Amino acid sequence: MSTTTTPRTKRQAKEAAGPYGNVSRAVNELDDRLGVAKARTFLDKIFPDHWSFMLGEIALYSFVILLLTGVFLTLYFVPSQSSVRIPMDFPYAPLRGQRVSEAFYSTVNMSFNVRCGLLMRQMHHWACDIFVGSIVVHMARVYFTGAFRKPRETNWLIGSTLLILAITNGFLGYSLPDDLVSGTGLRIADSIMLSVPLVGSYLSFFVFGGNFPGTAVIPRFFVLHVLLIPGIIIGLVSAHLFLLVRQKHTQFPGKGRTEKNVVGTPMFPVFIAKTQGFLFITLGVTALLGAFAEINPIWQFGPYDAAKISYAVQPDWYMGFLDGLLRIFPPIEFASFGHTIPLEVFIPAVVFPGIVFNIAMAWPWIERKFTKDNEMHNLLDRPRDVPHRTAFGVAFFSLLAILFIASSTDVLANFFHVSLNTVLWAMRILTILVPIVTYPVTYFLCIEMQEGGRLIGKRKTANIVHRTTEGEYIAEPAAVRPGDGHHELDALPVPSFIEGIDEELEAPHEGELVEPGVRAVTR
Amino acid sequence: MSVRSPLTRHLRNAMLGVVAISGLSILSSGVIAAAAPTTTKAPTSSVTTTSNSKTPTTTSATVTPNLAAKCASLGATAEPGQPIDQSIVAQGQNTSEFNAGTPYSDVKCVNSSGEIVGYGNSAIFYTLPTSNPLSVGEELFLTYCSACHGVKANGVPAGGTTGIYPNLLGLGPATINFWITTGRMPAVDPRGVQAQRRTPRLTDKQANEVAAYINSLQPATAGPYVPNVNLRGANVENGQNLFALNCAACHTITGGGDALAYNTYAPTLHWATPNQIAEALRTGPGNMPRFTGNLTDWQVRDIVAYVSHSIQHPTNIGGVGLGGLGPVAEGFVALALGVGGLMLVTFWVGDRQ
Ligand code: HEC
Ligand code: HEC
Repeated sequence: MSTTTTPRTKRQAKEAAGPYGNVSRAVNELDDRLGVAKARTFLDKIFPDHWSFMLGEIALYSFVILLLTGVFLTLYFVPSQSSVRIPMDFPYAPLRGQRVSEAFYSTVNMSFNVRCGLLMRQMHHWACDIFVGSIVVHMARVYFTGAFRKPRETNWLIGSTLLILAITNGFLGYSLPDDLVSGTGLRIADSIMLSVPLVGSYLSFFVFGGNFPGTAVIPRFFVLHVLLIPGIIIGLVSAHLFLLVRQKHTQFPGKGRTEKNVVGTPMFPVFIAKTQGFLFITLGVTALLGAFAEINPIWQFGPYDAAKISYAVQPDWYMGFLDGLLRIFPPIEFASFGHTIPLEVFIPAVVFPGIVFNIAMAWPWIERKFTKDNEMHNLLDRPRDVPHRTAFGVAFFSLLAILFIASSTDVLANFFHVSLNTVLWAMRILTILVPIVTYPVTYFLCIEMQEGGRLIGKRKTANIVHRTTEGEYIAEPAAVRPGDGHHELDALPVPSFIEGIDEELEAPHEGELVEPGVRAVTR
Repeated sequence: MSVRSPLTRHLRNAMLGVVAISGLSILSSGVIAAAAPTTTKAPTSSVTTTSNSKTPTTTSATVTPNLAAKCASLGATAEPGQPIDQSIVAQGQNTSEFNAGTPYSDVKCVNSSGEIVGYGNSAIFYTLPTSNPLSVGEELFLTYCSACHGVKANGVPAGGTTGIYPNLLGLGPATINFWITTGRMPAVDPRGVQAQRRTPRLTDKQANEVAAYINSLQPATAGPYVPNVNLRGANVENGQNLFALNCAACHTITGGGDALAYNTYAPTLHWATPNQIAEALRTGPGNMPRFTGNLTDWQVRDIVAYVSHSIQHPTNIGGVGLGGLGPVAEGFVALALGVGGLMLVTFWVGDRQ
């Protein structure tokens, strides 16, 4: 902004400063030093507007909420298993005077005695449940529309890693309050570690710093939970978003959208307003849940003690499929050579999740093996057009869903007054049956939907119904109406997509406004 | 032999792998074997008590004026409950039956005919129910119970009746009282796997009359008299502790109850009255274990207080309690309301083509 003539009047000075006045001057100053003008590319990033593209944002924003509420929690939580006696003036009578760990005490104390403490705890927990849930939904969207295909395999990989990290951190956080229910979860985790052949007992000793439960696990989990894993998550989320900007969004085929452009609203000013609003809505929903729906009332559970156990203990929902398979797996074990390998724990809790997450992560490559498709893809698939992928995805999800349901066999049996054993066997059979059934059903549904178009425009022959004097009804084909000659109407060719406009012809020019506020740019 | 064929290379790799794995396994099995003896053992019995409450003693029995008055109201004289025979104690049996729902309590009330009509202590007082006259109880029994349990209450009903009916003789008044006042008896579905709690058909007074009648056929040998819990001075903190230790494994820590194997279930604890809770503990209905000597009357009182205060009136300061179902309900809410609700928002703000 160097002008040769020094401005005389205020007005001249204003004009010289340009339309944005001091703002642009300040930005220019910054640009001279830091080169912030490059951020312009970011501000110009085009976001296609489809609603399903915002699912990932739920995950992003609930992660933000997790960070904010989590920082609050660290101010009051004491990550220690040394024992304290709850004071006699504690508001909740059944805990008064009990000997508990500092972790437990600080958590109930935060819930009862710290202003907003319980709200923050509950928001943190709800946000976690929503975080993992939205990652799953987001992944499902990416999967079923084929958005993971070249060139976006890396981002798929990062995304699935994020899911695993989110689940892990959820479990770690769930264990921190050291209450009866989370302690039971830890005990199960310990048994799972012990089930690993050869190294199981080392693994358990390594994690717990000696025998279960010991006094080391809470401080260790705390460090992992608040430092290490969130750190990695932040790093990976940044990489995820960076790749997103770098590779630009995918988009559904449609009016003016081609493989070579991207149509949508720019980051600034349209999208940023929208997404900010969405951040606040996510925050609002979480706050509502945190304020009105109780989650994990650990004072009702009491402190953990290895001699105590409660029935009907389930993990948080995202660990449910693991728990479900553990419950329904038949009791088989390997016991020879002086060693016992509890396969009924090792297979469902170690091998199976290993297979699940490996398939999930390697999916882009697995699919390529079948399709031999090495092209760049920026336009998304409609799920029906890729029946095998869709069918596999549905089968995979339904397997996990059945296992998730199996994690509440006892609740189901109790609620519906069915024998627990019947439920158990039903779940065993369904686990095998459901994926086998859902695959072909989905496949043929997809094919059917693809073909649905062919029936459009056909008209049924009209009938005239007579009633005889005896009361009998007789249907006769109607007389040919003038003009239509009683022919079946020929079906029109079905448009390849809703608009049905040839994409190449209509491709808008660079930067052209497709409709108000929506822009198209080349990739 | 510098040029190796791919086959030999594979073979070599495989062999290396085998060597490595077997080496690892030998090493680790050695250490596992060394570490094995140090593995922790969970306490073998879940039905244990903690030490921080009155533990049963076999010595001093105290007849307080209060307890003496109780005996007087039953028309009997108070006597100190006899301490347990020390020779039995020496054999390691019955060490803790004192003050645990037996006449070996702080006080026992003996009437003029030498019958024990009550016993107990400051926590729980057990009384022998009466029926005045006995024929009232008999009448009720013949009307409501004999069809199944037989006119002699011995579990042998009239010919042609099918089903397996327990013998009621000697079960003790508390058992009879519990099954009638919780509405389980008279049974609605005698072939069911487990009698359900229902609205009682008989009043409390009638229940006692039936119990008195059955007791008159054969005095209680197995079960206690009808308990009356004095919740004053109960320690819910100790109750919480004991509940988590003894009851949560079946009834769940929130007392919601849950399914056990083969159609049986541990019922919810939300409806039982304090006396019924004590009866359940002391008599062990159905599949529930019977807690006798391992829990003193003071400990039972603490558990009863915890159940009737904190479990039946849970402190849900965090909002809607979601039925005490824990993560199942929470996951459902998080997915349906949280993720589902936010998806609706995306649907609202986003483009739908
Ligand atoms: C319709 C048949 C039927 C009638 C009437 C009936 N019972 Fe029962 N009763 C049963 C059955 C069957 C059982 C076993 C139920 C179970 O174990 O769940 C039982 C169990 C009991 C038990 C528990 C026994 C134990 O060993 O724990 C008691 C006590 C009892 N009945 C008392 C009574 C009394 C008192 C009456 C009358 C008020 C009565 N019953 C009426 C069928 C009946
Ligand atoms: C082994 C599992 C088990 C344990 C441990 C157990 N219960 Fe039960 N409980 C049962 C079952 C099963 C029943 C139902 C009995 C029936 O109706 O046949 C029951 C019934 C009851 C009832 C009657 C509920 C009603 O509304 O009628 C109460 C009260 C009760 N239990 C309290 C306790 C308490 C207190 C403890 C701990 C000291 C405890 N139970 C420990 C299994 C258990």
